[in-house]
Amino acid sequence: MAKQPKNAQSKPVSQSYWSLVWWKFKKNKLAIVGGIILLVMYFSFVAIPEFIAPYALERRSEYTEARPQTIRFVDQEGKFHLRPFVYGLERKVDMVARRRSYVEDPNRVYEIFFFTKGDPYKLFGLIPTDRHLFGTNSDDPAASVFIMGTDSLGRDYFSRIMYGGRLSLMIGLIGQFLTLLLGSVLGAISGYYGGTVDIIVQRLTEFLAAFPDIPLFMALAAAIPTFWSPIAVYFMLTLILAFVRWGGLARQVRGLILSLREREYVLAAKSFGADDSRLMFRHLLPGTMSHIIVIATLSIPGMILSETALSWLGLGLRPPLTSWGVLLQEAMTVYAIRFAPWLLWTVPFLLIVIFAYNMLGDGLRDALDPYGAR
Amino acid sequence: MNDNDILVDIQDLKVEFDVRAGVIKAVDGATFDIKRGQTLGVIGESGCGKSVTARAILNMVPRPGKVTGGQVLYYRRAKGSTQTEVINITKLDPDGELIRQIRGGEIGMIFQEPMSSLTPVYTAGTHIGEAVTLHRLIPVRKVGDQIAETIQAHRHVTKQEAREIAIEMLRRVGIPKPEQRVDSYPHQLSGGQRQRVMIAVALSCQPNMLIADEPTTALDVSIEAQILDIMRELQESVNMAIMFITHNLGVIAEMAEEIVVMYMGKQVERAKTIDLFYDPKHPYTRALLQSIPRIGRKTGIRLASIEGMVPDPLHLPTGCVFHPRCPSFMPGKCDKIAPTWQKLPGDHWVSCLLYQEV
Repeated sequence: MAKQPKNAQSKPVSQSYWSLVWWKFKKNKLAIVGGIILLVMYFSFVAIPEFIAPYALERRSEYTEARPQTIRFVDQEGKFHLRPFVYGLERKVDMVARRRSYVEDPNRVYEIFFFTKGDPYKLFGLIPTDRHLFGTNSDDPAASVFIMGTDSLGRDYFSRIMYGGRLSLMIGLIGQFLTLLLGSVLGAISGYYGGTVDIIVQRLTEFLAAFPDIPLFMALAAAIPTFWSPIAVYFMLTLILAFVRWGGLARQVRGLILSLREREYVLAAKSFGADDSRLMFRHLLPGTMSHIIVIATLSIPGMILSETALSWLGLGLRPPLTSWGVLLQEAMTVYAIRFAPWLLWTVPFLLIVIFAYNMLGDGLRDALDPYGAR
Repeated sequence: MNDNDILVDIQDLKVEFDVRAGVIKAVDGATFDIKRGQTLGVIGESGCGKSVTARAILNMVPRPGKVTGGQVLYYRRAKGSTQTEVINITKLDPDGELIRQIRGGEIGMIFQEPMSSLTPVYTAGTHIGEAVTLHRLIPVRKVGDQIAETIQAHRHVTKQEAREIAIEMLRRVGIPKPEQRVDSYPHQLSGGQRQRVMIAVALSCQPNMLIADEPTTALDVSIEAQILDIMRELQESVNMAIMFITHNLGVIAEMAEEIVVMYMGKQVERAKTIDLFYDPKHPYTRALLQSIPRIGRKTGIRLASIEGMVPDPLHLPTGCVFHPRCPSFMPGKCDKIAPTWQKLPGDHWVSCLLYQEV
């Protein structure tokens, strides 16, 4: 059969659902900004933190709790340099306060080079390389660039934030994925079967909702054996977070399924011989997808914050793992806030991620209901 | 009547809905059979139990309905063989493997609302493909190891094959440019096209029987005629039985060979289409036929309608359920004695005391 020429009639007359969603989403500038921020952050924190961080995670310098080095373009004589540079640090011991402090030494100038050689690492865990986004190219062992200072062991704080972001951001995604899995499957089963199954699942969600979060976290986290490897603890923690948080989603999915299951297409699919699991997961759950996406986006920040809070309390991740919660734990003391306030640099990163998620989630919520009145 | 030709035999089927206000007898003693390749029409007003009977054939009575009596026998016959196996559908587990094979695979069903019968997130092709992959098997010749003999095994169709079948089915139900339409979502199709897709889904597994539950009610008249034509053509080409449920007498006269008339869950008359239209026996059937508007009818005369109202299904009248509205009401008889199913000459069955000696 000869291929018929395409004419105007062959084009679908109506816009598809997703093109309407995209059209509406595009109009929400805040949501676009949030989405772009998240894309950039996830790419840099999860995929290539080794490249962006100037130092390896465990690289210690002799400068402990050194204040951030300011990136400069103008030197002491007021001459402008195109290439940014930092001054070297000089240790001073304050005999009155009985502590070390560092001052910048304008005589030692370290220029910052981009795509420079540094500590070796494997890009994406595969490609061995030693290129970093920036760093000093100096052979001087005292050369350093700590744009956010160092911690009490002399590790570059900016590098640690980069590495810590990987675990903190991923726990949000993995945990939310597990929550979605648990919540939507149990919600679908509960709504589809109704009756006794429904009662059991709903009472379970109510029990979890009524239970105060932090004590439950504490009990579950305390149940993780201390001899487990940190990475096992990490996965256990995501499981715990998912386990505590699936209830709300399950209730919403149940409500949606309750209304969808009375639709005629469910009956039609059944009359063609579809079994229960097919009806639930192929015909009913996709109808709730737009709702699920929004809930998921809006609750990932909660997930990230939970991890941070737990680690801050010392119940979550522990060193040598680095996450934002672990970093904040080091900034917990009044001493740190008084004498090393740069240890709070984690907070703005955390805030940016959470704001970006909320902006994106709000935009998605409006966009995924393109026929809505808003 | 050759018993061998019976496909579905409904015997004294009773379906009850236990609702808070009481028990509703949605179907009360339906007894009829559907023969292979035949079209049986079921007519009656809304709520008379037509659709529930159809659902009972697929063991899909909606909650809280329950089959409380009688049975539906399905005379299963593998394609191409003459061996018949009798399956009592009402006894099957409603979620079991066997009933799911029968649903769609051997008895297809199409519904009144083409607008909502397709899952909105899937394309037309996906719908047909789903039915096809669930049911249609392709024979594969295999050589047995022990005995050097070819045996037949079956495998499920692949995705590519399912897509080709989907395009072919869409072409057969008269959808233009099936290669493109196969990727259309339900909301991109018109009502008539959606109903065609539904028919394509139902027919894609070459069922022995199609239950059409008011398939054209939601469509306009010209589309209705096209859909009916397609159903008839396809029926001839695959020798499929059709159970056609409607309340449109004109449609049923055109489609069915035999008609069952239902009223308040009970079947009141059954006859060949011609007999029923030219010689209706039951007063209800007569009243129905009189209430059809005709071309050439004198203007200014009110269209005949059936006296009274449909009774409350929770409080059905005693005796014959039609007696409060019946023009041939016989006091002392109709309100006391329930009529039984009587055979009149010419394979004409009726349930009315006018034809019964009491």
